[in-house]
Amino acid sequence: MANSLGSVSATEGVPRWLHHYTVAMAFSVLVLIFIGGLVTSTGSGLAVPDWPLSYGMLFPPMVGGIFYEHGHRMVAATIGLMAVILVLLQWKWEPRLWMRRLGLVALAAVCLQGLLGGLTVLYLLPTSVSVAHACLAQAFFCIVISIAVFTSNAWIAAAPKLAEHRQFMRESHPWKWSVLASVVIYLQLILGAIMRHTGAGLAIPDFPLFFGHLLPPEWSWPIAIHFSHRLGALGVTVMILLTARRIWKKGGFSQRVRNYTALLLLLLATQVTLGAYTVWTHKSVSITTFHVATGAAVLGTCLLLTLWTYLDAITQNRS
Amino acid sequence: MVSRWCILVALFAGIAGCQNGRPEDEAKSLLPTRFGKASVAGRIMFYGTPPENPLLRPSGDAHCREAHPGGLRLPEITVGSNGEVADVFIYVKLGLDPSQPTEAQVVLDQKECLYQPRVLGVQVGQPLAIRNTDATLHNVRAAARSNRSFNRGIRGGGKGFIHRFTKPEIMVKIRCDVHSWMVAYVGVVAHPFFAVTGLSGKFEIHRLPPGQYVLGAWHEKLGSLEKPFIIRAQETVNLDFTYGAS
Repeated sequence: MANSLGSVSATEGVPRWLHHYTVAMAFSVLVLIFIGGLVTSTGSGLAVPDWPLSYGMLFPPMVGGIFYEHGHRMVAATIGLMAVILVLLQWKWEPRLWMRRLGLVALAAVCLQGLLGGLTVLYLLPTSVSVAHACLAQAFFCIVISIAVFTSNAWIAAAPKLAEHRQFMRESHPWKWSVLASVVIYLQLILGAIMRHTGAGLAIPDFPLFFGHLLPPEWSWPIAIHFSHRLGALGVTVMILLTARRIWKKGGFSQRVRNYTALLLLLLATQVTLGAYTVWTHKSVSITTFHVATGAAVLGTCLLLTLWTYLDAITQNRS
Repeated sequence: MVSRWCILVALFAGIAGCQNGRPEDEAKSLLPTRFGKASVAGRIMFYGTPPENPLLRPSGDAHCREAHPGGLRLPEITVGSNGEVADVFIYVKLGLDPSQPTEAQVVLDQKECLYQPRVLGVQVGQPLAIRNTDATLHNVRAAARSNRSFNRGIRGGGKGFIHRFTKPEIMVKIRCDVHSWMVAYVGVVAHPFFAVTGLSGKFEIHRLPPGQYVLGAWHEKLGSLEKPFIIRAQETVNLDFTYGAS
């Protein structure tokens, strides 16, 4: 076990329910991201002016914007509690030290996320803190997804060895395209968060053109950031299509990888459509919020694809 | 490492000290207001068809729904039958030195899920009493550019707090994020020569000392206008402003 990153010795095992718990946690984080998006979309970020309490109470009347902001806090607190429970469960049931450490990283991330959420309220939504809050949410989502994958039977059974990891880093393989796609998606989410928290979401009011032109005729910071986000969408589309093509061409992947590839393409199409409708509906609350959550889903799916493609590749390499 | 902490503590102490002492110290250094016997008066008119104010259904709060059972028409532009414009902030924009603030309280209430009044003026350092007479929670967020922004919650039932702005600013937007339609605008000026038009569209600013001034007018939707004028002792100058005319 000392020389492996994913293996568990034959006598030890990770309980199946721990995997189910982390899967449930990953879905909960996606719901939390949706609710967080709802807070910004409804302009309720400052509806509760104090933190950590809400109007000096643990549970204020859920009226108006308080419903969204305090609701977000409640769900976030639940996720925080789930992270604490995860660490405790891992300490008891998880034999892999690096996994227990990853659980601690998740807990630290969710604590930092809560702190950033509090700071952004107390300092009246400074862009830097709000953007950091949005980006850390996506990073935390990725950590939880990774934990869910690493606790699955399929991953544990394949048990990639450290030597295999090292060898594989040097080889050209579709999983590297998937890694690159994940990085580009994350960068695109950062751009999206900056655009959202600087109020540049409608800086270019038409789509697919830019003020009726192929390029914006005038430039300002909001127009530049909005333009960058659209350019980023193009980059993400290209990266995902290239990854899918590589996987398709190479062949021999499991049904799971093929399913995740199809899901990623479907989510990409949905996300681009939602992006267009966000502009066309002048930032409708529901459309904009689904755009945020689908962005997270695209990132999460691409990460899943990366991990499973990697595992498939290692398994293929052995045989 | 220790020295870094010392610097941090000193910085915090410095910031705290500045914030505690600033308004009062600045007010003490100001001269008393120089009053005269001249007046400037006028009327704000709108020519043309004013845009219709948006109608919304206050959702998510039973108290607000009950206060406006037929929906709430937001008073963004209030124009009388003859074109008189209400809620215009009128102030002497140029020609006066900053003067000591009055201690008379100006009240901004949150009533029936609206800020009342919607437009008001205060002098730098003058106490602004912000209240909530609704039976529901409101937050009060000032999005200021020159002044310090703040966000405070007020539970219902007449509670509130006093705030004093420290710098002139046209205008400070106050909003409630619990009820996103609730906004108010506060004109903060360094002297007591300002007014807000009512339904008649009329304004009067009294006790001006003789001099050469610029009068400014601000409306949340119609924008800003200004006119220079010269006034002699005990004179009344008439200045009308017109919006909407091409």
